[in-house]
Amino acid sequence: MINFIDDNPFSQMKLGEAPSARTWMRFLQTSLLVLGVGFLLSGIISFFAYNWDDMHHFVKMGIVAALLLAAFGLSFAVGHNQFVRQVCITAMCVLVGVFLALVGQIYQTGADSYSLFLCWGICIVAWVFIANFPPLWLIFAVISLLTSILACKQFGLPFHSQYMINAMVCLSFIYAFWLLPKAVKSMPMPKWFMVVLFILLGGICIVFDVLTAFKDLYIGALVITALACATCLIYGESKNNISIFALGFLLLLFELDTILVSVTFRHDNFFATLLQTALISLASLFAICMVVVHKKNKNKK
Amino acid sequence: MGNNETNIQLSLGSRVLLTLAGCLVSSLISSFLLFVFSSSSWKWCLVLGCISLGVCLLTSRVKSESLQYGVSYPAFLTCLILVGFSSHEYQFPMVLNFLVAGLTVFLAGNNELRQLALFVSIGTLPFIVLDKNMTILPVMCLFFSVLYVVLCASCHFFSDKVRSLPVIGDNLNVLRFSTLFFAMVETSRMFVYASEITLFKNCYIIVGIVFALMVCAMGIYLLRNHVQTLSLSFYVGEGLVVLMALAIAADAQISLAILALIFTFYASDKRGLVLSIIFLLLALVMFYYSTEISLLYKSISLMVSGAICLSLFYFLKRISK
Repeated sequence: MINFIDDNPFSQMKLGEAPSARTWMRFLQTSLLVLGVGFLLSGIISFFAYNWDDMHHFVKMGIVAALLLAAFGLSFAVGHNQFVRQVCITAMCVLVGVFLALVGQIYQTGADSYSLFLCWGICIVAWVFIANFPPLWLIFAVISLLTSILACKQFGLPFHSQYMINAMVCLSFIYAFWLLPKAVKSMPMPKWFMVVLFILLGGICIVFDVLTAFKDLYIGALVITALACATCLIYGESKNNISIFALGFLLLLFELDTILVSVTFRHDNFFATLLQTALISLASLFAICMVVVHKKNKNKK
Repeated sequence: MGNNETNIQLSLGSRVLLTLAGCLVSSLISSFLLFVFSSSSWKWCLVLGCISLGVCLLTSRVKSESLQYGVSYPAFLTCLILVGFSSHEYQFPMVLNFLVAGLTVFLAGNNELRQLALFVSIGTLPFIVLDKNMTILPVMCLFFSVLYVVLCASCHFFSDKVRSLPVIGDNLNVLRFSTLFFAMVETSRMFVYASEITLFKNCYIIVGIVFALMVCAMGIYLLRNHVQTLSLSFYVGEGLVVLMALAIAADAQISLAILALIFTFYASDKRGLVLSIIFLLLALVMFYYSTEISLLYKSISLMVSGAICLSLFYFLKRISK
């Protein structure tokens, strides 16, 4: 029996080298399990989105409940295999969302879309902690972010507040995954997981900066970008992660760009050229900094 | 300076920032040149072409990574893009682009720039060959798909011979993946076009099966050296792959994404694997939102696919004990 956690088929990959028979087997098993569960769940979601009138409500809810119970039972049955158990719990968490959507569809509860995501998030939080599975954590983070986005739209908040709240949610997840694993001695999050969260944060901050640059300068945008930038730089430095470190510089560049554009926006072309020259110098300076940091990291190793 | 820097491998972040700075500088210089040559577009095109060739020659003379990322790539790209957009005449800028890119393949000092030039030369060819009034999109898509798939397949099957070529060299895996990725994107576009033609209407399943068979053939090829060591007979191995092909026959793009997954795993290309997974997710989303087929068909085909995949997983688990 293959242990998926200790025998990760992707960890031993070397560029250009053909994988061994055993690695092929591990890859096939992992892919088949993930694809199988993924296709099955996508099929179930599509099936209930079709809203088949001929099928009775109780049958629809019964199918989802039965699948939920089956996944629950399976997670106990394969208790010795951590990876399969985690995949089962992930399937359960997705099925909870399908079940809630189905209840809303059948009984026309009049619930807003943000309440669906909120309830979904609350219902699965315990399982997410129990499974401690990075892809499930990512699903949970996306559900939380979607809840905050939809709630902001529902309550008609101005766009400044919307972006501020979304960036704060993203930042809080980053701090939680950065500091909590140390405190509770749980499994540390893999590198890709943190990179995805930082990219989400960077995306929100950059869009926020660009939107405010050509309107009135909003101090909140600058504060949140500065916070995100500092987080990227400190995290990148402490974990020797050069990609996140570079994202910090990129955010700093956007922060300065926002200030410069908002100052020179209503002036003539001379200021625009000046602005471009300043940005070129800054980007080059950051690039040199990156080279120095990279050399330092290499020497440390 | 150049010799000292050859041993330093720049990080991804430094490369991005250097290229960003380079692009800003090139756009500033280009805007100045545009101002100078605004009255006659062909002179402007020639100047930009000469700049592109100049930076290529520079890469063969000075072996500095910073120079390549900060100056050569941005200048080359900016010049080629601007040449493409600078004139209203249809053929001339594209011919120039093709010539510059073709010369770069031979003149450039590093493989990445050569690959970039190779892609540009392939990409501009349809613009030169096609008539101005012809509907470009479908023909170009077909052209791209066939060309990239052929290039990709040839790189894959003749990797030992191809590896010694200076155009491909050490970046064989990158080229192999990028060709495949382009092929997938262009083929997806072709399907969008094909779905509007009466001949292809209601043939969704057939297209899916054709692509699944392609994956199946590739799987058999890749597995054939390993079936003995996996203590499976060849026919069981084949059967597994055929079943897997059936499982992914729901949609052509999903099949292609899985083909990319197999390819990139075979090449042990981690970045390629990540991109393939993203493409697979994208294919699933596109399949969900496609309007040609009903949600009921989508849901049933996906559930059947999932069930086959899970049963195959169970089977493999049993035999690997």
